[in-house]
Amino acid sequence: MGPILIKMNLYKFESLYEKFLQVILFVMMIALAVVVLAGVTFRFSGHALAWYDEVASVQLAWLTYYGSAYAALKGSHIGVPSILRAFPLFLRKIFFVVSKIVVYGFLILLAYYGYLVLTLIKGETLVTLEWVPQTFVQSVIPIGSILFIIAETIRIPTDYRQNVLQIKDENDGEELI
Amino acid sequence: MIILTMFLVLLFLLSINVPIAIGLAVTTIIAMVLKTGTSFLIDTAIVMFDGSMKFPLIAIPLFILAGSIMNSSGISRRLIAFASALVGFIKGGLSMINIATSMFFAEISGSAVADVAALGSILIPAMKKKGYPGAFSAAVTSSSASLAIIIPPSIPMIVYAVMAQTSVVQLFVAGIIPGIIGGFLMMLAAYIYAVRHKLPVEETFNLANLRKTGREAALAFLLPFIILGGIFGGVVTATEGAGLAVVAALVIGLIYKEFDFKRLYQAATEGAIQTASVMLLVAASVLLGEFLTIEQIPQKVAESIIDFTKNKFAVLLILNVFLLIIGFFLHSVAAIILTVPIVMPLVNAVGIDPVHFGIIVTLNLAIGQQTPPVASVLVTACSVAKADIWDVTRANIMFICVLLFLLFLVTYVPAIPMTLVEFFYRS
Repeated sequence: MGPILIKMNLYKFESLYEKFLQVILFVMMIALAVVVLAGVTFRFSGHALAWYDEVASVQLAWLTYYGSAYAALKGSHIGVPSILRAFPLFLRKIFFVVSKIVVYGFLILLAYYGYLVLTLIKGETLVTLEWVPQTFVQSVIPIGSILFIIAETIRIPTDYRQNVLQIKDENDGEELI
Repeated sequence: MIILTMFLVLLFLLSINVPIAIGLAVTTIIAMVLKTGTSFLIDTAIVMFDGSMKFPLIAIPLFILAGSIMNSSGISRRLIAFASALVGFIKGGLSMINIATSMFFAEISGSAVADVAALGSILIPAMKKKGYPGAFSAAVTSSSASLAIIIPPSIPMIVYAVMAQTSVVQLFVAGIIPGIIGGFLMMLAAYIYAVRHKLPVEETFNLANLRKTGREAALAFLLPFIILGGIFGGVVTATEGAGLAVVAALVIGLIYKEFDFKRLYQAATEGAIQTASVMLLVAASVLLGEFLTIEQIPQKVAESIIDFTKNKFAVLLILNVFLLIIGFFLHSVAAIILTVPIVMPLVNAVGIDPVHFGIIVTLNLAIGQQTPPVASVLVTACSVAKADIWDVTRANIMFICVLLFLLFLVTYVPAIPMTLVEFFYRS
């Protein structure tokens, strides 16, 4: 009973986590489109918004890191899986562990130094919107890294099945664009 | 020595399936720490944030969103019906329809994989039903979708423009004539194949039907007309044009009554994944850029090739071969991000126009999307057609030859991409 319950809870957590990221990203995408359109409209009306460029760029950075966590959950980051799949099973197992260590190592480093940066920029604000603190804006790096780590962890069984055991799942994340 | 080690580490990380963005960042961090010490580590977080704040790249999520909305609005069906009325009477009608629709579709979506997924799922089963070999059906869908990335709007072109610090609008304009020539050459190849294999025509030509389907698809044509017209005319920037594309796509979706909130939600979240996977790479490339600047690698590459030859056309040949090889192994956006900063000083030094070079790069990578092992568009077409990748590749050889011929034309007859640019922006 125990393992089944754990598996069910994990599944439930994954689906909740996915919904959580989806909602955030949906809001971000729509907000980005709205800000860009507001920028065009105000520019044409002769009252260009001073904060438009800066805010839209920050929105893109947020979309990048929150989106990266979601892309990790769906296995959609751009990579070259075909080479790993050509190795024999025991090497695939070793390389799988090494690749996860590299990814975790990078994300932990980014989260730590991202947090350290926040402690150094206390009191700074956006140039065009002085009521928006930089600590809020740049919090996306440590928070995004932690969300990425959670997504990467949830993804381990699927990645293992697909890349090490080479069992193809439906809706496998493929490279885009 | 440090460069060779860096290259080997990157190669190893990519081989064991570390995402390219992370592999690139980790390699750069190792090299920089070895060179400058651990004080660089805090810069990592700062550069990874700044690197993802590139204003011109805001066009990417917006074009992707507009394309996804259009995909779910029943526009593919209407475009196919119009293409069928327009070219369906030619022998091998369905392949003609496939190529023509891809070219129209390129005006809306910036992504070749999106084109294959949207059009292939309708056209490939239809082609198989009419007796076209599955591998050929997948090949024609895949190649024509890749050709579409040189027809504006194009996400690889937006990324190139940022990396090479050149005008995205001029790149969009430069892609138009090569795109049209490529489309006609592909239709010619498909026609020859159809005559040899006795493939059927789709329908007889009927002007009334052409008018009727044209009216139904009119809104789909209005969209590129408004947006690209606005961008080319200098009324709006590429980013603003992409914002307008989202609104126009939403309005068209509502008029066609095939679009709802659920689809918008899905389009936005899928668009976010695509954007993030590209943007994380861009951010990592800015980190790599720091290292390249310190080591002056691009300048060294330029010097060593210029020592060998200063002839512009010989340099273009070297660059083409290099880009074609890279295209076998790297995804198109990743290839642009990795190679463009390194080769740009060389391109500038021998006097190649960066807009001209942008079309050459994009076309090379369009070919790369068709050549395994890493061939994102081809793989999508194979999975839609349920065909073996090597069978499809064999059938695809003639279309790859068409793309190579087009690359040759674009490289050595600069007037083909550049005439419109010279006429509109430089005269």
